[in-house]
Amino acid sequence: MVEAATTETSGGVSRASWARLDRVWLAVPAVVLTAVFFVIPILFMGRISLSVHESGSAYREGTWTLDSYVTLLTDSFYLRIFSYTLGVSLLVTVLGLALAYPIAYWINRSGPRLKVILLFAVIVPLWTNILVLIYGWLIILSPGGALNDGLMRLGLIDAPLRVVYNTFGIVVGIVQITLPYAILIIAAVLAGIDRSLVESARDMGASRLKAFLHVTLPLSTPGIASAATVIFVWSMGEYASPQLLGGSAGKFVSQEVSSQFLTAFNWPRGAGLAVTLFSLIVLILVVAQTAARVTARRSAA
Amino acid sequence: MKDASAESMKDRVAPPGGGATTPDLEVQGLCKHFGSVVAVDSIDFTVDSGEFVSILGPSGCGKTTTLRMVAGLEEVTAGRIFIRGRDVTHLPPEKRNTAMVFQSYALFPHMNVHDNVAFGLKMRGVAKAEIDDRVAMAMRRVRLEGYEKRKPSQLSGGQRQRVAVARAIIVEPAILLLDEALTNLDRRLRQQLQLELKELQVELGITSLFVTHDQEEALTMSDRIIVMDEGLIAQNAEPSEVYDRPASAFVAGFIGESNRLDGSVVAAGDEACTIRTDAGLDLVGVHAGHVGHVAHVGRQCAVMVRPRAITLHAERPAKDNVIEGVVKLWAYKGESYEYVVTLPGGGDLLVSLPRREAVFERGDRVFAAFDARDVIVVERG
Repeated sequence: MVEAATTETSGGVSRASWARLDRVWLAVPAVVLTAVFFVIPILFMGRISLSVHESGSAYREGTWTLDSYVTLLTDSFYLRIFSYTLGVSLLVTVLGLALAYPIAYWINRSGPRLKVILLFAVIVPLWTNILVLIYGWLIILSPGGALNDGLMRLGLIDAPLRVVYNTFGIVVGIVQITLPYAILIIAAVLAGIDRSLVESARDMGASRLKAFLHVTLPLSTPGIASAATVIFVWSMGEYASPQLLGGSAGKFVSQEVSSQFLTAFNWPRGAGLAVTLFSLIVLILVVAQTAARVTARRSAA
Repeated sequence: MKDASAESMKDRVAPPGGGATTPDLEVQGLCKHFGSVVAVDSIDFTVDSGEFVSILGPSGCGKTTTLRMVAGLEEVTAGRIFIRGRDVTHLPPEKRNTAMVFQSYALFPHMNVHDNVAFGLKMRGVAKAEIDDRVAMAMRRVRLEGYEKRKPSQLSGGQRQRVAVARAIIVEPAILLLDEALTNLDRRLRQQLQLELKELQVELGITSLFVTHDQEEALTMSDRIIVMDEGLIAQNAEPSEVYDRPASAFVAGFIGESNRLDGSVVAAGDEACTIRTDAGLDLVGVHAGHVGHVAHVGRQCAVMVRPRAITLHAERPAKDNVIEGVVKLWAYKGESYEYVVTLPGGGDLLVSLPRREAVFERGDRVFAAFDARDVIVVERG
């Protein structure tokens, strides 16, 4: 889009500067939207998290305290919620990548007709409401659901499997929701890898597997990293899947945020949870990115 | 393949004791169909040890497909491929011991030059110390010492091409495959690298199969040229023979510029024959040997005359084979002048004069003369 704008108006210094101005103006709606609906609410949230809680009302305006953070960082109840959210999210990320990569690879290797069909199949769930997807899984996974019913009829199991209302159910839900994004991201990166590179590796004596490990896989790491980021960030903030498919095994941060705001009516603590979750995600992404850059530089040297 | 050229080739390149050695590459009845499209239509050829053979042809003639089948990157529809006597037709690329230089060079962007060049040896499980020695040697061969730590993106086109060559020769392949390996370079660099590559090939005695659409490149570099057209081999001969004695109108038209006069044989003797062009001009004294199998009376043929074989005169010279025409335009080409002469019977004649011997302007009446020995007679096609 930026490229197109430049080409259309190119032809002279003044035109070039106009093009640059155009670019700035084009960004204005997005900047305004982000500021009004994301930055300002987050700042509000930060302010509320630093207020004193008062039973009977949400919080006392104009007060300053670190109470909610002290509680969040010392009470093992909250630490367990954070570690459960983080652990499940890491698991979801690994499983999501393990599922998405082969599918993306397959799509990329397919002929034009099959590719359209596969891409269509990947995109269809994106048109479906997340709650509908989750209720779909409930129908399949619940003790009297399609999966257990089928397995019992086949005589493979005697009692229903516990595949929902636990961590497994949450993992299934989030992987399902994030899979299309992960596949599309990785497939796009794979499509950008010059085929002759793999051919050249084969010609140089690499088996199919070695050509993949030495050429395709390293060249697709940007796609893996982007897909991992999308899955992980989504999972960390996920609410519907743990709420509907999870059970007593653990609670996600977002669930606790909701109960603090709506049930306990402790806004500072709910806001503190939200801000801590947000900071944790940013911290992990920064650390991961730095680690990746250092590794890349070390392997290049 | 013509017997004469095959013989002279063996004289030059066969190792001692060997007229009967196995060729490094032998292709038998090779076919490739893409759906209903026939890309390669049952071709046969061999490449002897140490020989540099070019496959030359226009785009879509099947030359790259042929090369890719030899490398194992394309499935064979029919036919067989032997490398050093071993049937490799259905072997995967990594088991063929070929090394290909791609048109795009296909250097691995995430590896530095050293790792790119070392790749083939690493895949073959060669020890690290030996890899380092051989990489250093290969880098010297392509005159790129000191560039080992660079990434391909930090190299110029010519340097990338050299890395691609180093990466291929380091594995000492049975046959080096070059797919338009110099096409992406500018003209001067291309000419320089043609000579360097040829020198390297002779020095290493490495058997090479080179695919190109550039006839000048093929003539410069090859021991033998296989001209392909529409999936078939149009001619397989030494460069000078392909140039001087093209096997068909297609070859004559593709290798160098030619004027084409269609006609038929009206008189055939033992030594010479006469060909009457469709425009009514009799070309006498055409050497029967040039006419070959088209030499009987009544046979339709095409007479090809190179622009450099023609001279222009203001007065009708006392020679055979003079065509009268009018100068349509001329152009200065640096080393020569080119004239386009319109013939009375229709059609143009392209004439290239080494220097401006006589001054002709547009509209001048001129007489174009050529020696019957300089014409090439081929079948109409």
